[in-house]
Amino acid sequence: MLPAFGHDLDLELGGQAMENDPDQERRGRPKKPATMRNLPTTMIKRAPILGMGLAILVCPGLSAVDSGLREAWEQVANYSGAEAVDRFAAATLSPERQLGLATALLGRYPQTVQNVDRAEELLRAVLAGGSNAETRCGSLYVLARIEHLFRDNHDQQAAQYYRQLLGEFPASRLADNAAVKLALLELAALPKEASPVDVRARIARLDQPRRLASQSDFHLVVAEFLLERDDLEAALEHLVTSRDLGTVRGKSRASLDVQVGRVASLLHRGELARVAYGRFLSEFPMDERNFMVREEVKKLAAKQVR
Amino acid sequence: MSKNRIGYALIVVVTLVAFVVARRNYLATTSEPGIVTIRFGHFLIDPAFRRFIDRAAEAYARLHPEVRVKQLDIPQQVYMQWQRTQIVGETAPEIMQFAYFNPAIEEMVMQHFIVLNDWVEQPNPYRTDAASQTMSWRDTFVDGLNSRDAYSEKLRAYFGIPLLMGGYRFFYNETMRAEIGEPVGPWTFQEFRQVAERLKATGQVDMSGRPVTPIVASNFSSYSTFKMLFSSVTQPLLFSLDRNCDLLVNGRDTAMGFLEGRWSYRSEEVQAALRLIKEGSELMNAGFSQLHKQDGILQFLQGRGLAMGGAHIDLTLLNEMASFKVGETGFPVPDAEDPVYGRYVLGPVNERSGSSTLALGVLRSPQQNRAVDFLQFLTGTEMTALLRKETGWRVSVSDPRTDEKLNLQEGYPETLFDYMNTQGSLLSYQQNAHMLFRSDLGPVVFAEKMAMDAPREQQVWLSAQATMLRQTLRQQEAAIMAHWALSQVEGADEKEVRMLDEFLEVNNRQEADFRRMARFLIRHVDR
Repeated sequence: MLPAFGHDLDLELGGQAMENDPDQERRGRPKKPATMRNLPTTMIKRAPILGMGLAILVCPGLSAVDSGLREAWEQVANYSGAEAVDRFAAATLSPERQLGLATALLGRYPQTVQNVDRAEELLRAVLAGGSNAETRCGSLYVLARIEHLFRDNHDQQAAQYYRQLLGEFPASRLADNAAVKLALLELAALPKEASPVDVRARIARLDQPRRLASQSDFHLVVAEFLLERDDLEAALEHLVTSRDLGTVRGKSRASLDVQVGRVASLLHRGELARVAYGRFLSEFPMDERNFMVREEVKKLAAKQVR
Repeated sequence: MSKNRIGYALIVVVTLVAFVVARRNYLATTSEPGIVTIRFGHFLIDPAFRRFIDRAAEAYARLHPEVRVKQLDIPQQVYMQWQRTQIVGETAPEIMQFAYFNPAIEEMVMQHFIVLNDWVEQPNPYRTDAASQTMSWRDTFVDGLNSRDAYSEKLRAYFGIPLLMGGYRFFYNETMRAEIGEPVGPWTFQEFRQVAERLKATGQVDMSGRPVTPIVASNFSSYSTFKMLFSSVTQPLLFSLDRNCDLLVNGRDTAMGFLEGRWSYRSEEVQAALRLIKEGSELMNAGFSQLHKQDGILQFLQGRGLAMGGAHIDLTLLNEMASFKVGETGFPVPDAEDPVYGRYVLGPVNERSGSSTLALGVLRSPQQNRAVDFLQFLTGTEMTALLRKETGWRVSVSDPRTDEKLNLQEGYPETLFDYMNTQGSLLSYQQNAHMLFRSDLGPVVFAEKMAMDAPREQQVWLSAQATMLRQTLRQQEAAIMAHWALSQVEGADEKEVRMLDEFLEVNNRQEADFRRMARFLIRHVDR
């Protein structure tokens, strides 16, 4: 038996937010109670939700992770979605099992609209039925990703879930990543003709993640956006911040060093470029860009001599 | 009477041959009781490589008497279909070579092959040197398994174990070169043209009395030569098309650059590259684009040409089959001193093709652990030395005791030919390339035709790329959540948390890329 999820979350904060939430309607919870008149249809439509709620009420102990679930999650991590669906489906009913099943359905090949709909249905049931904080946090994140990535033109709904996640579980890793995704959404909404000043001002107002790794990702995606708009000065600032946070590893870090070097070079900031290129050459001697970077360093040296 | 005897004898011989063949096929496809059989499917025709696999299988059986390894060498022309049917029919061998020419390779790998992450992070038990005892299997590879064939960055997963490093080479008939009195390679393009002139002047003829061509080419061989020529003079575009300043240009960058007018087939550098290709083609045998690789090799072996471009691994086959001494060198491309093309040349063209290849994957099966063990054996100390000895190839596993014999040159990437002509504008290029080689048409007419045909194809291709990237992001989503769930379990180690952070970083970067492409498509693609 595995212990429940939990060491990543600010459970107290999350719990309070759930109980005293004034914004329940905005978050897509049931907007009005079922009346006698609409009860039969509502009952049928909400049968899975009610079933889940009942199961949780009757079996409160099932919210802990079932012993078979870890293997199922490992199967999802290894892209064996179909096998994981079977394993989750065979597990004892619990919110964690429902979250796992929904996730496995998204990872099942081929991806179908029916599987996505079913995943969404399961996750809405988890939110409506009550669950532990971790499962609720995970469910909000997956719902946001369904709206953002699996549906077309559902950016507003996605943003709503991301904000809900940030509001309810601000200290969680997934909320940190939600801040990065929100940044992507908000930057995409900026008009093409927005001035560099307006763009920078909008960036300054974005929610920032708490963890270093997510902060680094945040600065990376902002830098990519600024490069797209040819604002090299601002992009360089974010690239350098991301690099200095020191959390990016492997080939991504190699790319980051090259980007800092190249952008600095284009902005005639030779010293910064040399340092970044030098770091790249010493840390990634086998990278395919090695020759080009060495040539760039030679050019920088030649400029310095002149 | 004597005719009858011959007939009976023939019947007996045929029966015996049929029996031997049937027995051989039976042994190749069945197992003895208590013996585990690992089957290994690949499409390499090189006899030295097949010999190596046989010897490796024997050596492995000596260590593990309960295991037999059998190779199935399938012709490249039918490999893709064969692989697909074997997988669908659930009769696929335990180990298969990834077919780089299969456009659906990523999807196939994800669905049917095992993720090797857990193995590659542990030491390879078949490495005997002290340093490797604590080194991960991954780090014993020259490129740290950092190649497209071995590692899917999109899925943060290792799927393939490569045996070789890639690279291109220009081969020549050393005996013929000595006869015409030209110095040995490497030659620049200008110098090789002089070699060609000398060849003509000395009246060299092949076995049938026909004049020898300077370059004997096939579809593959001409591709390798054109690729290097094209890449030698389009180097400045590597910078102007690098949208995110990471010094890596890919097909998406070139497609977007094309659609927003950063380059076209009329651009100065591209026109120079096309003229160079045309001049290169004039040194080749007539009808080269219709010849298969093997036919081109055969013509070279028959002495019908002085030189031939190819992959560096072709050298072992050529050495084994040729009746003359085979020389090998870099491709004859223009250098910065070239009076016509020199102003477009920034430096040499890369011949190393940085990453590893000939990647082998393990299918999900009850024998998967044993199959991985055999791959560890193949890339262990003893077998790496044997592969190098048998083939002379650039082996993917590093061995500080062995010097590389091939002197492949580093340089600017050789990739622009592929990105510009074989991805977003593949069909247009294939349909119109003949114009390049015709004396009455040529690069200018070709460019005009491409200006009409290529934009729509580039748009469709780029839209498909965006769709594919979105699909990849969707595939990542479930795996990310799984890593998050596993990192949340009490007692989860730091590795799981780091894995999640790294996965999210790649996911965020790729999603930024996808959103950027989506915005681009809205602005530049006709709906």
